[in-house]
Amino acid sequence: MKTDPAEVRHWTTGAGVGLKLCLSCHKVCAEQTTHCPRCDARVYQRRQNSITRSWALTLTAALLYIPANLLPMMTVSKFEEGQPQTIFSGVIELMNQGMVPIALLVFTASVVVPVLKLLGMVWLLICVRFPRATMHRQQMLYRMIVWIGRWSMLDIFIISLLVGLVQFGKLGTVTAGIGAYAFASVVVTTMLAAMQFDPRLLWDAAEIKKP
Amino acid sequence: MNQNTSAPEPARANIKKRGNLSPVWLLPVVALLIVVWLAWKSVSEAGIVIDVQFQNGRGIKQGKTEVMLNGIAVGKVTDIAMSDDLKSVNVTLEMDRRMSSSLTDKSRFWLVRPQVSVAGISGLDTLVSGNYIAFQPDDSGVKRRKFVALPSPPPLGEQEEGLSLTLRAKELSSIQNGSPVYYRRLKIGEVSSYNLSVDDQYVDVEIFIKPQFAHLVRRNTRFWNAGGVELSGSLTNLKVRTQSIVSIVQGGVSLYTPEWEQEFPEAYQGDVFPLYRDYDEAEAGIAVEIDFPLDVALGQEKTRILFHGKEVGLVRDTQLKDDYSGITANVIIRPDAVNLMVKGARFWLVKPSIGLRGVSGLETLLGGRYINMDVSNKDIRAAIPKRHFEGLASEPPASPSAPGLHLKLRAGSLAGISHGSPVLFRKMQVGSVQSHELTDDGVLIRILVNPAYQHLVNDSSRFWNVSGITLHGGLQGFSIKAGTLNSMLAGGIAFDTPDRTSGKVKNGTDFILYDNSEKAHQFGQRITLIFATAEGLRVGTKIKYKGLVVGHLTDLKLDQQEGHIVADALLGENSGWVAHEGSRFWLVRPKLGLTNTANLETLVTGQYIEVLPGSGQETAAETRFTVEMAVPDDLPLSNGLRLQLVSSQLGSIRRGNPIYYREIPVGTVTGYRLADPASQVLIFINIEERYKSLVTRKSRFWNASGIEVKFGLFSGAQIRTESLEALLAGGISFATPEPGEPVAPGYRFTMAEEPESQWLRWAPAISISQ
Repeated sequence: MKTDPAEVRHWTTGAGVGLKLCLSCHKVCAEQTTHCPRCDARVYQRRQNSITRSWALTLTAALLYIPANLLPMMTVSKFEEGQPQTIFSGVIELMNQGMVPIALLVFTASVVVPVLKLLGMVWLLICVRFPRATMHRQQMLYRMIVWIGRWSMLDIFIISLLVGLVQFGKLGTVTAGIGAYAFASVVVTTMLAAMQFDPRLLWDAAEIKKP
Repeated sequence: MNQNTSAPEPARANIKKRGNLSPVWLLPVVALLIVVWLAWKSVSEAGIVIDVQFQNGRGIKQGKTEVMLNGIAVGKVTDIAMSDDLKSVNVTLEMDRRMSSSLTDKSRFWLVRPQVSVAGISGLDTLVSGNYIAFQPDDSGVKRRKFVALPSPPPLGEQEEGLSLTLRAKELSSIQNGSPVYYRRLKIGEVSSYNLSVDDQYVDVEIFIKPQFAHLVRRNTRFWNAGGVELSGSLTNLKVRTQSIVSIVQGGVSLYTPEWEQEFPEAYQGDVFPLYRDYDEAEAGIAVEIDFPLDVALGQEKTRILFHGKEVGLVRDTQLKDDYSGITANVIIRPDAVNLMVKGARFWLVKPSIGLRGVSGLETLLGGRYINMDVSNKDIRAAIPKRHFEGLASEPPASPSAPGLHLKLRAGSLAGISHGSPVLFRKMQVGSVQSHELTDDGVLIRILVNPAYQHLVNDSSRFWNVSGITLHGGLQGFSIKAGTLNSMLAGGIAFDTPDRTSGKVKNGTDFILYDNSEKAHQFGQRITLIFATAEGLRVGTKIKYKGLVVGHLTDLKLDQQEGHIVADALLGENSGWVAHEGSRFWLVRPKLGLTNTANLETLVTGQYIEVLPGSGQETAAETRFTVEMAVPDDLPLSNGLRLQLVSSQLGSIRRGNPIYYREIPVGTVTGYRLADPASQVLIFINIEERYKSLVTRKSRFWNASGIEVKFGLFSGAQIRTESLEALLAGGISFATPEPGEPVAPGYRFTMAEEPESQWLRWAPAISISQ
């Protein structure tokens, strides 16, 4: 990424030259066209309602993050009724059992990453609302959020696998808790929020800031 | 912000317009609702934090140990901390909010950990799941937040609803907390606690009966200590009483409700019952005292009392009477046998005895002595209650209540019969001798005929003694009479019933016990015969009529005053008619002589008595006769013509000599005697019936005995004799000149010494009557 502040100021946006992009087939269209001449999809200058949706989804994710952490993710039963584990109690349990790296991994994937994602999204949305000059950093943040979002599903995958595989009756059973659904919703909603976010708005914001 | 560029401005306006309607905002709203709901739920269901003080915190884990109520987790340990004085552990529990109303000062907590003991394993689930804290809620108390945990699980009764009772025992025995309470060996509750009674005289055992069994406990229910193994009785009757393996080790209490007692109301909570030492004691019955003679060794405690083999009571203890004249046994009679404790009940001790009639009471050798009792149905019906009895040292005769036919036999002597001697019918035992006692005129023997055979006895039955061996011996043969081997050794009584249709007999009927079978069957007429001497006589000497036995002597005794022998004779059943007025008896004994050997068979068969029935009426039957020691001279033969001859000398005439007519015997000399006056001899003869017509008044009789030798000078020797037989044996001849009227019986002729020559030529044509 070029981060030379001297060069940052010199760019041109599609909107600036009367062009807009079909998000469906990525054809560059004239500003006046409402429908893509190639794929006939509706063409907007910017993603419609991007900020609103992102906000809504981010807010949803943030709200769901509360139960996702407070409610038990899964219950592991060995011979006896097991104790439902929340994410954090699971991490502590792993720590207690001496599996620090795994605990760190789980902590990272389940706690750090979602929190960072949420915080990042909020940061980006705020940046759109209150334009700042650090457009490249925001861009980088956005890409990171998009890239890292898929890894948040690690927990869900593990739970899905365990629930599916570990069904040995009295010997051992793994059941998913309601926290898992909440957590999955968090991950999905944050990803959707990231997808709904139109990074070009950051350019626009930077454009506003520039003069 | 307000410096918007022209390009996004219309779009933003659009967004705003449509953003208000954007359905995407539903998502955060839903999420918010979820969160709010969860928050509300968590707040509303947030646990109640309480503190419980435990004596020690072994097995309690923070965040893990749960509080269980009926197997459901209702709370969790959130924190453990030592108390300030370091003597206990304060455990912070987060209880389910639903428990809030149950957390009162009456609620209790205790730690459940696995317990392995002989009585069982409890809390096994804690091995896997870890210890847990049990919680017993109680809504009735005052709410509070601080508790003190129980050191051990509370008694069962306080955990659940049920019946709590107090048992008052003299000693605790093996009862402990948790000892089971059994009803029909089913555990229906357990001992919850025990303690000394207030006055320190008893142990109060608190028991708890599960609610579903509470109705089993009535006011009259008896409890006894069923713990351990109770060995009682003796070798044959060894009672090993135990309720279960658990109760062996852990002790236990059993209960039962006497069924024979009337229905009592159910027991109330907290009722006090006595706890008996054992089952036998629990069957507290009627106390009865029995006095036994001193020499009766009652044996150990718990001597049983049997009524027809059924145990009706136990000897609780024995003690000497105050005056040392006997032993008093304190007996507990079972309540169901109370009706037997009436006047007339008899008690006696059964002990082993080995005798000729076998071993009796053998079971007591192993099983210990027991007391038998008996009471008649009559006494039971009379139902005069009695609580003090006189015991007997030995078995009394069967009570009249015993089934069977009770008879009394009267005998002159016991003659080998003893208690238990068999009563035989056709050599099969049908009863036994129950008792014997002396009476003024002999012995009274009581027998009992088994019910199955009592129909064999009736009016006509005759009993005789078959004890020992009866040996009859004589030249004519031996007869050995014996009953069964048992009766030979132990004595016995036999009977038979000639007439099955005779009248039935009742209990207590008197019979005569004859000495032997013969006597028993002497049905005929008894007569008394008087003999000059008993020589050649014996009991059993036969009385014959015409060679047929019509009776026999049954007894011989000396009449001291008269100096003769008095014999009792029994005539056969149908031969009584021979003894009538005018009947004559004489003794027949062997006669050995030159010419007159008679009755030689009596040498072998023994002498006998001949009878000639008199002509008297049957109704005027005499019973006393004098027996002639020889055949009577004047005895007529049964038929024929009786005549008398008068002679100066008897010559060689003997009884039995023939009477010849033309040298054919037609009669016999039946006897002779001196005439009165004794100038002449009377000879009795008997002419056979068919030759009766040969004798007329004109008949002439002469002595035909011997040889008549006439020796004359001119005539030479002339020898005349009737026959060789007459020559040897002697005889009488007669001749009749012409037919005529037959003479009447008893007509007396003169017997000539020798015939006139013309007599020998007489040859009248007398027709012989047929």
